[in-house]
Amino acid sequence: MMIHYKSFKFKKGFTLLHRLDPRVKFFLACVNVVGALVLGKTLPLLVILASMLPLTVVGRITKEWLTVLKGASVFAAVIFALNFFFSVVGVTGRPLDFSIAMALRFLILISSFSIFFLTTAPDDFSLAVQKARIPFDVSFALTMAMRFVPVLAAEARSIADAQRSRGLELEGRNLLRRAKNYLPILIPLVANSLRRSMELAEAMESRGYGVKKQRTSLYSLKFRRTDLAALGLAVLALFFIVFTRIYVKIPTIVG
Amino acid sequence: MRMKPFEITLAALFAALTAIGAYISIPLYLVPITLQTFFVYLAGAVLGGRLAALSQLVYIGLGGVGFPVFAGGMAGFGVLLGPTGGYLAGFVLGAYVIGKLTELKGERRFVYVFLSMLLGTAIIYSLGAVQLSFYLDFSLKRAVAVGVLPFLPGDALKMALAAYVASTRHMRSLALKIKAASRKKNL
Repeated sequence: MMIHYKSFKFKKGFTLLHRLDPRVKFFLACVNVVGALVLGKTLPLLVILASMLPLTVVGRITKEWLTVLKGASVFAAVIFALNFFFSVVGVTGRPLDFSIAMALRFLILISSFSIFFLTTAPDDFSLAVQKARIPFDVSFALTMAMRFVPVLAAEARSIADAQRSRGLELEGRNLLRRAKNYLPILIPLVANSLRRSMELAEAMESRGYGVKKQRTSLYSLKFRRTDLAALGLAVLALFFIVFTRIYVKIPTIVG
Repeated sequence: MRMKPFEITLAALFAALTAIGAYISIPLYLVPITLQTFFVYLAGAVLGGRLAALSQLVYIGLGGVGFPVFAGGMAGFGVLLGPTGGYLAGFVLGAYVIGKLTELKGERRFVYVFLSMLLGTAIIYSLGAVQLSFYLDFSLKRAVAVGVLPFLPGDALKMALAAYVASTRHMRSLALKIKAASRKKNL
């Protein structure tokens, strides 16, 4: 089961959402996640999920966002099934509403951050990480790891295909044998990627990485009036979520 | 903290590998079996303590900012505070301990690497089980039954695999290279 990493890739654009300060966008995604975590009923979670749709329309990423939802819905179905099963068996004894809410919570967790990544350029992202006072070397490793993940995933798949075409069996009942058969995939994957990372380090060195103590960057983040407005809205939403959690008795709509 | 280029790329690489490992998984109730720990062990045995811990920190950072790299496609800092967050904290500490132990010995013999991984596993699971029991109001005994015992056979297998890979000639020479390069002065 692979989530489509493509859906987390930045899509170039010049919409309001793209121009928003990445820190504000990140805060917005966090508000959604907090909402998903503190409100454990179907109705409010549906509202949160639906509230993301207009955002994606503004950012012109509705299609990509829906792809994310589609990819995540498989996991969501598994989560629902597990919760439902355990409540029927009587381990947890929670109503149907809870099972649906857990699946929705997962969908919100995944899709709210995908909006952030779809509309934030990698350069803006690393600038924002630096602004958070994380040392440059670490933030650089973070951005690099982010780009490594899809590459490695593709490589693992092609190595598996290559080995399968040589007659390697990855299915079968015998667990020990299956585990052993993962070796011809893992070793080339690790060896190849190690070599690649050493080459990358040489390339960085030859370009003089780390020669100057103080780094400068071509672009800088600016906090505009629209950012302030968006931040205000996000804070308002957060207050609303907390208020709902404490004072409102949310009805269960199913079960 | 100044890092050398190869330290940066290796930390990034093992963070990404751990992320890939999270996808090769068998879902179970509450805690899934994944290949993550295989790469945690390997990072410790190959990179040495400091770099291995850093690679796991980068991995947690990657998931924390919302990239779906935690087991089951989860993401966000919420996961760290959730029931399975203790395992993630354990990855950092476990990788550090495994790395430090193999560094102390120098020579990477299969048996020694395997034994240090055993200690690392104990750290990962004790942190994981404590947070699991805290989060779910389980007794520690039940948390161990749900969150530790089902994984031990798989982990024994993964440890053997990782110790084998780390003790191959290729990996040994790489570990020596890392050690030699880290003694060199910065540019």
